[in-house]
This record gives sequence, structure tokens and C-alpha cells, in this order.
Amino acid sequence: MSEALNSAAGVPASLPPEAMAVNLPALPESLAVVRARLRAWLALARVDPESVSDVLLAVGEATANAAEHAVVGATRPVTLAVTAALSGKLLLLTVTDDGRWKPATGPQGHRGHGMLLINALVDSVALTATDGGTTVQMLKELP
Amino acid sequence: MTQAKFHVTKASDGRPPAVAVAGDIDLANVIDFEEAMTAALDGSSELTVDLTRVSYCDSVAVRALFSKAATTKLTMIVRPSGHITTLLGISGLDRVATVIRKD
Repeated sequence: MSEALNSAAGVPASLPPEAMAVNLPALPESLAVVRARLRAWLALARVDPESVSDVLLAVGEATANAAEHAVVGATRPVTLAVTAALSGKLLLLTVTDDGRWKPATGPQGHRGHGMLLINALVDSVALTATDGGTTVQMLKELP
Repeated sequence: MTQAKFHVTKASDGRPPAVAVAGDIDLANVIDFEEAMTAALDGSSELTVDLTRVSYCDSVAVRALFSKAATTKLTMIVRPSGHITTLLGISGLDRVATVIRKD
């Protein structure tokens, strides 16, 4: 599979795929579904294997945060929305939940690790937390 | 549902207990990973975790491994490149456990 991806990555993507949008319940079971959809979309967008691995992990961290923390104390089902769009060499990813923001419990807290990882994996991260939910917006510059 | 296989080997003939994982580890099945490590340990003070066949894992798994590294002598086997190597480096897990790189 990696050989096919390598050869595909060398070909300029003349037509970027339509933006991806996935909406699921913010539950642990949804995380594998998000990864499968994102993997397929990144292959369609001919993203190189190293960036694919970085993006899967960054989005995985953001969605795990949502599935683990946004649902704590929620009185209604929380929705997790993931989008991916490609503009030239710039990959824009968003992970949004409409649950409650729970701050990290400390430097060893999961959310602490997660945000640290996301920062290292993509070129810029913006986190917006309001009473209505949390959005993590990530930009990754492709080689 | 996240699919992964956890192969548990108990300590024998001076070899430390081991867990070999194949598949994805995430929030949905990290409990299975923790239980496999606990079952393998069975009172031993050393543990080897083979992650060479893991197709995805994130800081949820790192947290479980940090927890085991706090009380046991932890050795992890990983592929030389790929996102797990990145994950171990950024999280600092490679500084509290022994990491063996193997294809």
C-alpha cells in the first residue's frame, strides 16, 4: 500500500477532492470511523505518507479529546464534526464538538499530551472553546 | 468498533512477560490494552510491549504505557519510522522506557 501512495504522491493533484465532512456522536466508537474516512480522503487528495501519518494522529488526538472530555456531564448527546479541505498545498482540518470544554487536569493530563502532540504535528493550531462547544482548527502545509 | 489483537505471553525461563499488539489502539479499546498488560505482568517487575504491528495509536495508549512504566521496567519494540516513533519522542515516553527499533 505504501508503494502505491508513494507513486501517487509524486503526481501533482490537479483536481483536489471535495472537502470532507463527517458528523458522528462524540463516542469512542466513532474514532475508528473518522480515521477510516480521513484515510480514504487523504489518499484521494494524494497526500504524502508522512503527512498522512501526522494528520491522522493530530485529528485522532483532537477527536479523542472530544469523545473523552466533551461528553462529561452532558445532558444530551454530543456531536463530533470533522472536516478536511485542501487549498493548494495547504490542508485545513477542523474538529468541532458541541459539548462542554474540560480544561486539562495538569501537565500529565491526557488533554495536555494531546495538545502538545497536535502542536508538533501540524503547522498551526487554533483552539476556540465556548459554552456551545470546542473547535480545534489545524493547518498543515504539505511538501 | 476498533479492532486489535492483544497476544499475552507470561514470564517463563527468565524471559519477561510480553504483550504483542496488532491493529489500532484508541479510546474505544485502550481498556483491553491495559488489561492485557496487567494479565501479562502477573506480579512480574518487567514487561515487554511489541508495537511493531500497531496500525494506529495515540496519546491514549501513551498514557496507559506511562502508567505501566511508573511501576515496571518497560521495554517497547517499535518500527524504526512511522507515527509511533514520532509519538514516543514527542510524549517523552522514550525517556522513561527502553525502546527497541525493529522492522
